[in-house]
Amino acid sequence: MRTRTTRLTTAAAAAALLGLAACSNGADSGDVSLSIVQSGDGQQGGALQHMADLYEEETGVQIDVVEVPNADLRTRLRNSAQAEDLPAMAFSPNIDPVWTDQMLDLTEISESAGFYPELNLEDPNDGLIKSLPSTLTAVGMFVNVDLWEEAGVEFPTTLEEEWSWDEFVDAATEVVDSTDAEFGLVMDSSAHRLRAFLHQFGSKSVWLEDGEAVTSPETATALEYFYDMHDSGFMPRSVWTAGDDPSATFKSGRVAAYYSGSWQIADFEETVTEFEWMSVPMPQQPVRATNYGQASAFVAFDGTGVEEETLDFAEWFYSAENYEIYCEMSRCLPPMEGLDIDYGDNAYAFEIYNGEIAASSGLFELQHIKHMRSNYLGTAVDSEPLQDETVRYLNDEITLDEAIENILTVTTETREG
Amino acid sequence: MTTLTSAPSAGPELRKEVSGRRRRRPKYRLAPAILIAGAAILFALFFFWPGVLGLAYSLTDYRGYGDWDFVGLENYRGLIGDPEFYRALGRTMVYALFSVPLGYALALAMAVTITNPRARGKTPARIIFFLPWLVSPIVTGVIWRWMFGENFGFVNYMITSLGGERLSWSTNADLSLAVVVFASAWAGAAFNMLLFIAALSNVPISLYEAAELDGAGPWRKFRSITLPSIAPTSVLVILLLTLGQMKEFAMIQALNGGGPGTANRLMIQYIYETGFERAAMGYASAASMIFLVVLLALAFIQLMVSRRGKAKAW
Repeated sequence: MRTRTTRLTTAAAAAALLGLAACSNGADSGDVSLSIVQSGDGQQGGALQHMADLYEEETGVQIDVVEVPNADLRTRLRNSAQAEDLPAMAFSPNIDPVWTDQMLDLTEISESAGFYPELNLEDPNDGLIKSLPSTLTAVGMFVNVDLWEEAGVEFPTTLEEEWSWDEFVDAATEVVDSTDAEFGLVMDSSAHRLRAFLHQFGSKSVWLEDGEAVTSPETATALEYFYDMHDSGFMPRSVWTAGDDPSATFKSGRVAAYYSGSWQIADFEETVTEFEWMSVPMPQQPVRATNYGQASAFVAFDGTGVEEETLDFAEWFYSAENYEIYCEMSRCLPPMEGLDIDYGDNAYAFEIYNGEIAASSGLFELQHIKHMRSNYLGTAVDSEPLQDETVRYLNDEITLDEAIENILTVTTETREG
Repeated sequence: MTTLTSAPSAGPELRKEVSGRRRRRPKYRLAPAILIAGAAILFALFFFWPGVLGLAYSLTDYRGYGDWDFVGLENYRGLIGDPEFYRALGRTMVYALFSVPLGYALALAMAVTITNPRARGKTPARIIFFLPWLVSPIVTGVIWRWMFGENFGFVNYMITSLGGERLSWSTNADLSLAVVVFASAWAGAAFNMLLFIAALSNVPISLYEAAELDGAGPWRKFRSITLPSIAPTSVLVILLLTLGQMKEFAMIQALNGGGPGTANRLMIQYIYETGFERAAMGYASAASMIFLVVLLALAFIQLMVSRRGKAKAW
């Protein structure tokens, strides 16, 4: 009896310690399936799923689209790499040193797709292109048309019309005073948005010279202006200092303008029904500029057993005819020229974005690609000193001078290349 | 009057029997070892080994990837002069100082209410009181963020509807921490309530009856009978609460992200951000080790105090 009990106990203990391992990709049974990890909104996810279905119809190869919350995506890929269980491919927000040695060479696909030259990111170690831009994303501004019309205040609608930040603040303040609007402006809490704002004041943001982070005097002017907009109540402090959702704040219908990005267009088409919204040119003080870059990096991984099939899919996805379908469905800006994309009623908005991107070329090379390239050289930093220190400055934890000093110090410490 | 005499010494037969018993193999040997093996292996894998790794990392300049160099106590020296570390530790202490008494009082009040013989609607009360315990810390954070949203939150909506001024629940550091304190008390009270219910049901009714005969009122009975009787459970609850609150992460991350700014960044957030966002794994590991010592010291002090008060929790 006791022996039987002991055996049962042993068996139970052994069973409790057994783990089951799941495979991401499969090519064993003849039916090939590839997994692609990404973080997208409903529109982007739906567009990628549509492409996956199209590809399966054409080739019989199944593509599993795995949606992961944006905040978890880096950790997910990092953990997968450390567990030797990487997916076939991913749309990743960064290049992680943990898996740079497992990236497939995508140079041929990059050349045939014909991306904008400044988006070509070569691995400094071997000169190969191992990541491709998913889409182009750019900073832009939206207004709540109903509020502006109710207040009888005009706003520019084309690139031919210009307004300065001072003019914008005066106009939006009038909107707030004349309607039940709560705020004049809300801005996404991100360094990407803040860089565009700095550019518009003539700053080139922060870049490296001989390994040292530097900035221009206009950075201080812009940050002080940004602080004053919060301090006066023109912008809600809670978004930048306490993580309130800026998109939800704008969608409440009580904010005159929203400083965000092109990716919102698809979302607003679906979700904003209570008021009329519109994309407008961003203010200039005095520079017309935006901040643009790849929304995420398409990467494919070695060691999955389905490398050939993965490269075949990437080639198919980035062909002009297929990528046009994807862009139309996800309402994105293409990272290459020559595509004929029908944006429907919002074609005017994409014209504004493209015009602002054209005005900003040259700024891009200063930071984004250098930042990404530094990942290849062994730096993996999730923090954004420009954003982090600005938040502390807005929260009166540090002075403007301390904020700028900290931004430069941390950037120098954490960025290489 | 009886006189005590010494017990007769054991005879040779009895001695033989006893030594024979000693030589006999114990009844259970393998089964207990097997039963604890799982827990022991899991403890070694997921607590002891990571702890050893953390200690090793704390002596290096490891960044979470790539190569590392041994730097000795450099990380610890850096932490001693790091104001951000002290700020996070201080804020964590403040958070625990307010949330532990509130959590204790709320759990005890709920338990006393439910165990009161005159109380009505005990079953629905149990369900309502216990529901928050089933909610994950992340969801708790999101719920309270929605309720206390500064611009369009439910609470501020109610305040302004009643003609009051909107409160800065998000951008005032102290108000923001107060929301977290209340949220954590709400979320964690149910578990401690169960501990108190078990303790309260073990207090002899005869003590209350005797006190009533002596004319003691409800407050006097609670102060002089209930509280001393459940002292060991109180010590346990305070100890668990203190350690739990000092290690708060998920809920505050979801509720205000340690904001406004970094004003409410607690210790675990500081460690997480330093290690993962700023890629200073060695430095963050050193902070973890110092924090471990702080927690051990707090637990030790609490146990010493409880033993002096003869309220042994275990």
